[in-house]
Amino acid sequence: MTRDNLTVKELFCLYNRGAVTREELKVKVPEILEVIDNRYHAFISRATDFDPGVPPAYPCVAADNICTESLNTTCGSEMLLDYRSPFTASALDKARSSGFFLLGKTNLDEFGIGDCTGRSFFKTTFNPLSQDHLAGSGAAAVVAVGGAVAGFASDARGGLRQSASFCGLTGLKPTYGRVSRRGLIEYASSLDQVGVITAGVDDATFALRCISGPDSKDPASQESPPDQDSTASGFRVAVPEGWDRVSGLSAGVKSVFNKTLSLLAELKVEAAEVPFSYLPLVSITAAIIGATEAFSNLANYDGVRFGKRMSGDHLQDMYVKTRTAFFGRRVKEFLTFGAFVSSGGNYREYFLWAQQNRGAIQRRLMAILKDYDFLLLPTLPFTAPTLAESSGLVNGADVYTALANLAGLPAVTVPAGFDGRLPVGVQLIGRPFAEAALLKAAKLLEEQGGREVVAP
Amino acid sequence: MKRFEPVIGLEVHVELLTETKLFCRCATAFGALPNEQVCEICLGLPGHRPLLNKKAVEYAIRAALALNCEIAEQIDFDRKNYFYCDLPKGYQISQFFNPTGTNGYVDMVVNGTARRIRIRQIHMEEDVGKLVHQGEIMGSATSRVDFNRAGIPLVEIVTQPDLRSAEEARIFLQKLRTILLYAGVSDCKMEEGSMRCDANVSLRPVGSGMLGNKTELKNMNSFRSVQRGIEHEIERQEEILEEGGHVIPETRHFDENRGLTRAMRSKFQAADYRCFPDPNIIPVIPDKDWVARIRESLPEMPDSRTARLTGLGLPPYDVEIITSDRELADFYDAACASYREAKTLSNWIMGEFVRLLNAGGMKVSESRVTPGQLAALLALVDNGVISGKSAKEVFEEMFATGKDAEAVITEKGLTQISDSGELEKIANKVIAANPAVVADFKNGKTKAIGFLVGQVMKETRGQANPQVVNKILAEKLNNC
Ligand SMILES: [Zn+2]
Repeated sequence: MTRDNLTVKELFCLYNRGAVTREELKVKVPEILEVIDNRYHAFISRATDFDPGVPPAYPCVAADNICTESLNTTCGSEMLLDYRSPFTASALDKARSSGFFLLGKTNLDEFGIGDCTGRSFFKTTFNPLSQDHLAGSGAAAVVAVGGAVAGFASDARGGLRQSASFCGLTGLKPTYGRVSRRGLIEYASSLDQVGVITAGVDDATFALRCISGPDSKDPASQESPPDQDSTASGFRVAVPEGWDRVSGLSAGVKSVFNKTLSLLAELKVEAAEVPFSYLPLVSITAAIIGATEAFSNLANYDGVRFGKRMSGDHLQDMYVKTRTAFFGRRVKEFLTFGAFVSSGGNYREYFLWAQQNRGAIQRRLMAILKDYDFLLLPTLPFTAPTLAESSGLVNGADVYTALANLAGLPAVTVPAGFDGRLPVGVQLIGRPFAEAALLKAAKLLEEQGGREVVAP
Repeated sequence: MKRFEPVIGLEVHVELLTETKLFCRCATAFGALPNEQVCEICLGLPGHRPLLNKKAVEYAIRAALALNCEIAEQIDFDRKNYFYCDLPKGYQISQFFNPTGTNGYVDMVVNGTARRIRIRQIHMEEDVGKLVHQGEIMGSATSRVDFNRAGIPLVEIVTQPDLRSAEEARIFLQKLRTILLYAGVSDCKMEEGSMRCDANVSLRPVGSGMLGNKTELKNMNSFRSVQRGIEHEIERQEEILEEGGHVIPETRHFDENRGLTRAMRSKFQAADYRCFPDPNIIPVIPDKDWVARIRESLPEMPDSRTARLTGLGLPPYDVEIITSDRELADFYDAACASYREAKTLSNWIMGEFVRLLNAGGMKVSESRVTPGQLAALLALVDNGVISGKSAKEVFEEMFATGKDAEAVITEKGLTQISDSGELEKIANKVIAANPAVVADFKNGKTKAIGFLVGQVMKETRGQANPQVVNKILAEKLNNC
């Protein structure tokens, strides 16, 4: 093995063992990142100084909607083209103090709003496993080619897990409140959570430990209760009924999921279908809540205090021109949808209806999780879309993933097989703050599922 | 006989006295340089998280209790979404669905008649920034925004439409101010904007239960201006209705200088605020013990004090003056604990004490004289140690130095001579020295005694107790 073919992750590994010098790292890492970026369009900004300091150091990237003082934070939007946050997200601060070294900020759907296409104002990220297909996010692409140990990103309706699944990776969305959201430029406050994309479950377990814990600057963050391992003597898995009747479910995904079920049977893990009538409501419910919150959360992009501004004849004209010019089409559609469903006349029929669905879904999931340790579902109904495919307002990519966001539960996706050249993930959803058990079960699936490694 | 009667409701915004803002740790102090007291949170920067100030919640509960409100079981916050450049986040955090307090009331007396004004609700919200223009708003090329005020905690107090005249509205507002000052939740300075009042004004035929079209009246920056603004608006609406016209529901500005109200030009009329619960703020469940502790920590409120002071036999005027200021009322009560002549005490407090405070531009709390010292001084007067006249001189010195009455009296040699033995000697001397005057008295000129009293006072350099002198002289003259 020559050193020329090493990945960033491998270089750091050698550096941590003293087998690669700091100087070598400082030269090689930016070269590799440039190759990755040219090939997959994964970065929005890359670090300028690659001195990781005293080992151990773990290379990481962060989605560009997580604030950093050292690099711009654009959310993939022209609106924040040159925006530099005066503070760093608490989760990244924690990661840094645990040895994570930030290589750069990665591409994402503008403001994280999309159906996991990985399309921003700046670029579209290609899937390293198949360059005709989308990666879903820059973070996933970088991690997939060994460019980083961990990609920290947000997961509002499942984007993090979806892109991990598209790229054959592990994607973990922690319990709402386990990781501080301060410094995450979220579009949907009640759904969004900082999580991590890694090559495998062990890395995810490590990364989660590094970013977890209460933060005095995020009142929703909590001290996690001690891990109670309910699964020491085996575990029980619930499969929500109707998973296979979801519209757009591809034959490939269905077959991989069925294979996973047989695998569990071989392992003598009890996996039972449980009554669940809400799957058809998941996407629309998450979209209504997400868009209502987004309309409000993104109202601060008005050109007054920061970000881009178009001048206008008067104040309202300035707002209209600024927001029309610098938000992308997908964001404007979503905000318009949000304005519609939360307007006075529609509030009851749409927003309140969605809130009621959310409550019902939450209650039902918690009831299921009383009897079962986890829910098991496909991560998405389909594999990574082609570059040409476009998405509608609600395309159902989040039909399985958004359940965890609506209920604030931890969820993890691991690769379970392939549909042609494209990986297929399966998803486990666990009890609140039961990430330890969740990751242990994910590890079992990972070991059984088998994976192919793709190098840049 | 008027054909129409006014129906008035007030919406009063009051700044809470917390040291930091509602959702961040920025200072709330008045008078900083523009945009000096701001941070990521109150500027609404991307990625910020609001941190609820528990003290503000406590003050809001305090205010609600002082207004006899029921306290919400859960205190949560909603977003009121609209765009304006003084609003950093594009939404204002307020309490739309569950106000902190509801169903309260304020009792007051208007021209001798007791009135109860119902409080519909009291809720918290954050203040917005302040626009700064060069010259006139329309002529200014640019607008600047000072966000120091953005995020300062306010409570909005909304009355039921129970007020029936401009004067009532003014009296209500003054009463409200007194109550909030008592509760210690705000300094309620209308001139500095820490208390702001909007009025909803409509007219209806006398005796009708219906409500007419109302206008919302803004820009009234003093109690006087609230009364005048509403008076003008009532007159304006009366004229319209008398001529058979219709009042247009709109927002109007009171122009203090011209003494009229004007419709406001409003570019942002679409008032669909899309209120929904703020997903970033964790609701506070005020536990019963906490609320009980807040209730216990409230001082005795003006109405209860009024009743108690009236019970002491004070006339209404005195009671009103003393209870209008919590510190003054506390001073009165503390002095009253050791000096029982209620009326004498109120004369002194409303007279000498308030006069000296005003002359020095001081608050009661800044006074160097304690209530106990005043009580001691008045006891000395009652015991005849000093005269009422010199007591005023003594009090001025006490006020200036904080010394006890006795110390001042000794220093100044003001002790009154009431010892009749000593005074008899002097009286004998004076009688002996003025035989002509004594003769006049004997001949029926009783007024002549005054001259002799004066002589005794002169001999004692004014320290003799004039009543005692009078008595001694009268006895001696009648007996000799
Ligand atoms: Zn602040």
